[in-house]
Amino acid sequence: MPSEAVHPATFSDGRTAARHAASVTLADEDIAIRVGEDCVARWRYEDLRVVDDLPTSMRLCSRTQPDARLALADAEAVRAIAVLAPALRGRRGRGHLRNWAAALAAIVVVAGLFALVPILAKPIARLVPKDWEAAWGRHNLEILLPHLGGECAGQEGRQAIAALSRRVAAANALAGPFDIHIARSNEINAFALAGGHVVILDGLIDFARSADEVAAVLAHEMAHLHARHVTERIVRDTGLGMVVMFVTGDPTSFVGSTAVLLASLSYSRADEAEADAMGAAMLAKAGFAPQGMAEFFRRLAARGGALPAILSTHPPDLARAAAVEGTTTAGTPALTAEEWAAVKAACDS
Amino acid sequence: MSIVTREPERSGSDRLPRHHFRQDGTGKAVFGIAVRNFALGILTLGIYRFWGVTRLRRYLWSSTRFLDDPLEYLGTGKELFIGAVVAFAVLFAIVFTTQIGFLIVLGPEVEELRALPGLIVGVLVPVAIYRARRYRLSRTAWRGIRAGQTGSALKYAVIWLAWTASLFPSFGLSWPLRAVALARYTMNHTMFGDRFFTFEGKATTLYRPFLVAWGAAAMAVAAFAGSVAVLQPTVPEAGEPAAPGVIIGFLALMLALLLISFWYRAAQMRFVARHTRFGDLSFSADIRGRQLAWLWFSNFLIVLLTLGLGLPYALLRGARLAAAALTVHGDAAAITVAQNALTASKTGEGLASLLDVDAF
Repeated sequence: MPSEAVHPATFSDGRTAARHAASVTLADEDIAIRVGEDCVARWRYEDLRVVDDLPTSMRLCSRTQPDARLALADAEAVRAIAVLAPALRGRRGRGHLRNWAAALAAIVVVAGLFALVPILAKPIARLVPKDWEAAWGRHNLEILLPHLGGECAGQEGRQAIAALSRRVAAANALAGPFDIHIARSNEINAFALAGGHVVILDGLIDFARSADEVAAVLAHEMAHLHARHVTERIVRDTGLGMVVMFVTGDPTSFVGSTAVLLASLSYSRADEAEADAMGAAMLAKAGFAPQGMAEFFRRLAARGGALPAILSTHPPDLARAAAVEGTTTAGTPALTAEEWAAVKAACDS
Repeated sequence: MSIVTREPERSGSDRLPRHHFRQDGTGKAVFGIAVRNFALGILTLGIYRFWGVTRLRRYLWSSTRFLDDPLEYLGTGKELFIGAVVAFAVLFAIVFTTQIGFLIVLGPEVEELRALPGLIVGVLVPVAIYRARRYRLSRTAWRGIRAGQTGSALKYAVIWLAWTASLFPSFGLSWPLRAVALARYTMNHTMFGDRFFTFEGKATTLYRPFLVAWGAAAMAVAAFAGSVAVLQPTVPEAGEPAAPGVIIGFLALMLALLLISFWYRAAQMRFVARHTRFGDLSFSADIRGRQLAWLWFSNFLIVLLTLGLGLPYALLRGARLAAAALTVHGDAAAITVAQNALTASKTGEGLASLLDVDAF
């Protein structure tokens, strides 16, 4: 209810830092601010904005004079104005709904980014030029090999493996040179690096009972390269890392890194399954017997000590063995007995 | 307007009125903000932090009063968010170009390039510091009049980098010169309304406390080196722990250096305050090293024991100490200052927050 009562206040006009004792009169459409005898400002109710809402006073400005400050300590005046000024009235309630909507929007956006990055990684990986991949792969190789005990020197073994990879590549019309390296480490593993590099560890060669098994692993890794999984994973991991780093504002946050790890692992399981299928097909086309793969996985599973599925970078071994089972056909052995012996002996120097 | 003659000892001039900043913030309110920021931060996977920081600053600013009027913080979370996006894009472009781009063009043999992003980031730190301060000042107002900061972040960065580099060949002895150069550039470009602050300190005055601190630090290091020579004449094998006396001695050395640095920092703060003016107003800082040390250690414990949730409260305690220590000399009510015409930059702080050099 507008009243003609005069309320005490203080006023700064926003053009200088001076503060004046003032009085405020509430009229029908606006409030009149008087300093001494002069009316220095008339502010319409709809233009009023709150600058500060402290327990002891309320400070107002007007949309027309955003730098001016009117401080009201009179509780009655504050109440009267709050009733009449729309900006002041709905202030608290409206804010909550908007905040919840904003929070929800933020979660949706972040979740969307997490989902979008792996989807975009594939087409982006396809756009990466071959030289970039080659340079990146060479760089990674130089970093990785020393950690794996260095490359093995056995020439005949290397040439035998290289010839094998050329046969697979030729039969499947695979693009690009493939460089096969044998490293001295005792772990049972093999990697594909960008630019056509495959690293097979001596531990895997020792574990393999026949050249067919090694050929299966080789074909599997070459399939990874052919499908550009490696580049895709680099793009995806970089993208996810960036999203996490930006969202949390902290590149080392524990939550962030686990989230990225889980996201990148689950996608690489799909990649692994694809490489298994592709590798078996490649072996068959090259005329080799694909049993090697099934055999290899069966023996790997029998070894035991497998990691829980979600935390391992590979799907459970038995599942892989079963997936490849139905593709067995007859074929020529991958390497001659001589070549196989040479490969086994590649790291013996 | 009265003309004030500068007195050598501030405390002797009883003719001038004195004013203090009043900090009325409560731990309860700040803790409420901290909990809310934490909860919403988790809920939005971190994106809320820009709005959370804004809310905290708004409280800290508005709970600080000068001449009965509160300071106002005019920044918004949206500005900080956009600033961070821009800074992120810039940083990413830099890292991408140097890491991957150069790698492809020049090949993996050029190992020196691995250090390039680090160097670029190092150069950007003073830029970020200057821009962040400019943003905060431009979003600070009192009685509706805005503060501000002019000058170029790049020029500041050059001063900062050149003087920081000088610390190495001089074994740290150029520190007071560096501090004065930085304070001069910063303060002379700081403004409230349409008037600039001025800083006219000379490094020679600062050298007296600095040399005392430097000498004490040198003696502490020498004492430690001597004790090591006595207790551990041979270098221990890898994996073998050093003699317990050496470890204790090292911790004692760190503690001594820390306390010496607090003592000196307080002296430097007093120096900067004493030589800063705003029109007819002058300043003094009544701060001692032991107050800084107490604040630092207790804040460290608070933040540690609350796993970070107590950080806003630690900032409040710092604000309280600053308000209690700073005195404004002169008739502040008589100062005439007009609104400045600086257009506020929209994106000031993104770089600082990404490089982790923003204060709060």
